[in-house]
Amino acid sequence: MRPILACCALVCSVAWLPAHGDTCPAQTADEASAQVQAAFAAWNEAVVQKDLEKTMAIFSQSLRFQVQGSPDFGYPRLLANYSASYARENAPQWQGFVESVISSPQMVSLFTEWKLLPEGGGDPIKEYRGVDVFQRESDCAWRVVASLNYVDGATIAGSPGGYSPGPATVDSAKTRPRVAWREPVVRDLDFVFGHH
Amino acid sequence: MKLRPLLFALSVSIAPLCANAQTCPSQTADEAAADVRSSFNAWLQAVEHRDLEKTMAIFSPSLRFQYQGVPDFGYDHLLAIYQADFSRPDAPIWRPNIENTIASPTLVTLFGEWTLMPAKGGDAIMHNRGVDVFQREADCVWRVVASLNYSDKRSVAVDSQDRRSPAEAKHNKLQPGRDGAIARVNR
Repeated sequence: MRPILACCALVCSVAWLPAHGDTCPAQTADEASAQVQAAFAAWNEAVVQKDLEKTMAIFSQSLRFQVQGSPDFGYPRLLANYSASYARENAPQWQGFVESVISSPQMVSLFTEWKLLPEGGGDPIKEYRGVDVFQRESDCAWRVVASLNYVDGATIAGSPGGYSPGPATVDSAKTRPRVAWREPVVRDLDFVFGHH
Repeated sequence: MKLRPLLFALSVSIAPLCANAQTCPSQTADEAAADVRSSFNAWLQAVEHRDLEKTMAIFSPSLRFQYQGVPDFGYDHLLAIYQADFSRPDAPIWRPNIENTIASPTLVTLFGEWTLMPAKGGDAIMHNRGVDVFQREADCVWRVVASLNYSDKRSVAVDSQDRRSPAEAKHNKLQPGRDGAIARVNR
């Protein structure tokens, strides 16, 4: 009987492992929002520093990553993309800018704009928009479990030469009619994927 | 002193109108997901029947709608789009396929694929992907507070793992400015 009881105890103990931060200290939606934005800011800094470990720390192992023009992928491929990107000299870097936050104590949706910036500075090469869904995992860290990203139509509207507005003009670009939008063509996936 | 009970009663009656579902019966994440899927299905029926009131009932007045290629817009503009669309007898209809639901007791996100189908049947006109963020509002109803949508471009990817058939991929052209400019936000 004892081995059976031991097995039962093991099963019971495993069953209690929290899936999504169930045993973490309670937070308000505002606290959750603040923690996620802090994690996001730290992640941006990690990207600037090309710190692979800290870069990947914000992503859940169960991540589902969706980017326009590519099949969905998960954590391992994202890791490979970052590893390759950080190994390149003078690789451009994606930087994120928070547009809005919708938060609850257990989940936060971060709506963002993304700019691919040349290593030496200058105008953005590409701009995307997207949303990252954060959940608190069993270690109480907030991580991205799902990410959806697409080319910002405003930045390629009516621009045969691929014009991208600089940071100072982005606000006015938002109010510009985007009816001249044309299809983006994703040619260099690693180049695109570097953003997260 | 006599005012105090009145003020108290007034504050109690107004309070439930203010915040996001703070006084609603608590739900688990699973219950929240089930509620959202149920209201989503009801919304699909409403669109099918061109019931404007029920169609709009799923959207929060504070909605922020994000659609690739056009400036972000809100509830009023979406209402105008549905009004125009429902007045067309042969307007194409968006068919969803929910890919992923991520739920918490007070916030639910639905990731979906959307296919624009001709009213009289036939091949798909367009494919989109997107996410809708639902929150329980002060009346305890789940509504979409944010929606983000883009044209599905997997067919142009260099990656060889495109899971779609050529038949799907050939309808992958989004051309704003044509008559689909209104209909394509029809969901």
